[in-house]
Amino acid sequence: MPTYIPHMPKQLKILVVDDTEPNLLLVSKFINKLGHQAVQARNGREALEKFHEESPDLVLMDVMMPEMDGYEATARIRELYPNKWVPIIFLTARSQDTDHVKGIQVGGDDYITKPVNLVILEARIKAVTRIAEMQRQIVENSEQLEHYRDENERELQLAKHLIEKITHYDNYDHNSIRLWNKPAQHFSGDIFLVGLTPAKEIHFLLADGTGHGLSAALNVIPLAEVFYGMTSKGFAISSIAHELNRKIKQLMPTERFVAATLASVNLGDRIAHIWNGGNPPALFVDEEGKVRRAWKSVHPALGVFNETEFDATTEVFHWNEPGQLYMCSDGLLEAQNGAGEEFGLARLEQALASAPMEQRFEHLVQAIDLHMDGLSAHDDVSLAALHCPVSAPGEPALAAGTERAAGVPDACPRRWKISLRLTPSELKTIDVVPMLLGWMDQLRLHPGHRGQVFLIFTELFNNSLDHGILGLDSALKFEPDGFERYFDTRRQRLTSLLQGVLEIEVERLRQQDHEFLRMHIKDSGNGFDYRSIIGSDVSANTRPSGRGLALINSLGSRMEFAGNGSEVTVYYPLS
Amino acid sequence: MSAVQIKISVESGNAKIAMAGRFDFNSHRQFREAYQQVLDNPAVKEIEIDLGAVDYLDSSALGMLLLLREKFLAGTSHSDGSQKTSASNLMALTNCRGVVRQVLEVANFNKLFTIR
Repeated sequence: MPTYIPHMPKQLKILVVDDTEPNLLLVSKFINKLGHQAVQARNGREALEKFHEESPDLVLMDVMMPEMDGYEATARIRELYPNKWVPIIFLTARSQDTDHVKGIQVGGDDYITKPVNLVILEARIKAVTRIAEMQRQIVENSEQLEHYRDENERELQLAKHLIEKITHYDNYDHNSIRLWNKPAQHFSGDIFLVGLTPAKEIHFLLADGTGHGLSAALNVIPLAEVFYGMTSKGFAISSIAHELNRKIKQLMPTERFVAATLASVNLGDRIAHIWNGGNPPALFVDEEGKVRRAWKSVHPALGVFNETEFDATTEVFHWNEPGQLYMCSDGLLEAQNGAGEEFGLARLEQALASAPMEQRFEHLVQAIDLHMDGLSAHDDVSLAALHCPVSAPGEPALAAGTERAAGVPDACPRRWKISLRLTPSELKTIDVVPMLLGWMDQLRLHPGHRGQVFLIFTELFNNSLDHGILGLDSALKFEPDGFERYFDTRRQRLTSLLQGVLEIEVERLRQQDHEFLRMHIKDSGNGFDYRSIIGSDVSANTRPSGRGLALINSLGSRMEFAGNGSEVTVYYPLS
Repeated sequence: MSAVQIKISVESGNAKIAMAGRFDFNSHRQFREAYQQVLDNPAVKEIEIDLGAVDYLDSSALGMLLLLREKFLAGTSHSDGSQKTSASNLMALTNCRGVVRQVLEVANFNKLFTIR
């Protein structure tokens, strides 16, 4: 908005205050000649009255007057009308510097000595009115600004509300997760998303959109639906990473991307999968507070690569001792103190090492707050910690979490059968278990059965694929770093797979007055000695290779092997 | 030191955009004007962005580099959409040191540009 200096075309109403009649007349006539309107007062008190009645644009004030002098009248006008600035020019015979100064002090704007030089008076009137106009403009701008700011506040509040709903912040209550967030502005461009798969695996996303505040938060909204949808269907975290990338690439402009740390944690098997694109390292910290593993960003952020370039490979980790998985956004490491020093990785590691596990998170938050010392953050600060115990809390929770359906609703599909034949080209590209579960959802499988069916099916499928088709040996998992190597080998073999067939049948049927889900898998592999594992007790099974087939038995399902062990059928009761 | 300083030079098909100072969100307009100049020049076959004198680089700057890369590659494809040559042969980020190097590393930009 350019500074515009108006040239006084309009008529002004000028209040002339003087106790001497000839002066009053002279100045009034002059004012009229200039094209303005003159209003008269003969002393300070009358000046106040006229000021109130007439609302003049300018006051020409004599100083020496009976009843109330010019200084006092000016002081009173300023006091009574603090929000309305009307220029006041003193016209007076008193010409000392002290008088001049006093005039300005009581709130006058200019001081002209008598006898009045009319040319000068005209010039001063112009000058002072010009300033008054600019002043008025400032007040108007400031009111407008305040109006916009209020409107903006309301819109931000709405956006904040929306974002909280979309990201389901109120929904998360998994007690092994701690989250902390300190936005740089009203709200954060960083988000956390937490969800559980049907098998109760924890999926976690810490995302940091380009920039901060509302424009960054807008980056991350499309992620929420994809993340929650795919997690609830049981998709693997790498499939989710792939889809998130596709979404951001498709929806957001090129220069906007989302740094993300994705994790999938199976507390029962003590396995975590990590994908880090653009965020600071994720850390696994042991009981003593030492960093055991760090997962640096090895991918560009989401939304940078296109579909063919994108690498969804996760890193696998298996823990044998309890610990915590820490993730943060770069705002945390870059948080500055008064001297401009960044918090940094060294301070982070020190804070982690200097508190016992139960208080570690709070201690770290305090350390960051202390470092920032009340200064506001340049970038959103986000911190998350996942507790990774060694006892298996997952199993009882799994059994408890899935309620059995009471009876069978009449109007649902009852006699369906799905048959699938999968060769390497399918096995490499399709997420089979979530796909099947999705179909079963469509076929109105009762939600109460979802978790257990998913678990059973995952177990059967993974066993057939890993051992039957890929020829992997579970014993590999027992060795040091065995899990990581097992998954690496698995990935390599799957990528280069040329032969193998996996046949799947899922059928809903009735046997002896009860409804069942029959799940059958046959692989083209060499089978195994299944007689040796049937009848083993789940609680005695502390092998790290998963709860395995023995668990299926304990879920009230009937399991039958056939052939050399490469063919298995499970009958899962629906009623 | 607030505004970024940008100098462009073109020599036998190689354009060099030398940047100094703080490369952040505020550099947007200047950077765009600079690269537009380079993109409009039909003689330019390769682009080098010299970050040696840059003391600060944030995610907005990374975004601007991505945008330039996209525009440049769009201009170097055949009419059937295939690339004339691989992306990292055409665009290089040079003299990357200290903080700048660290940021580019975390962002894994070596997978998108040649970094030296």
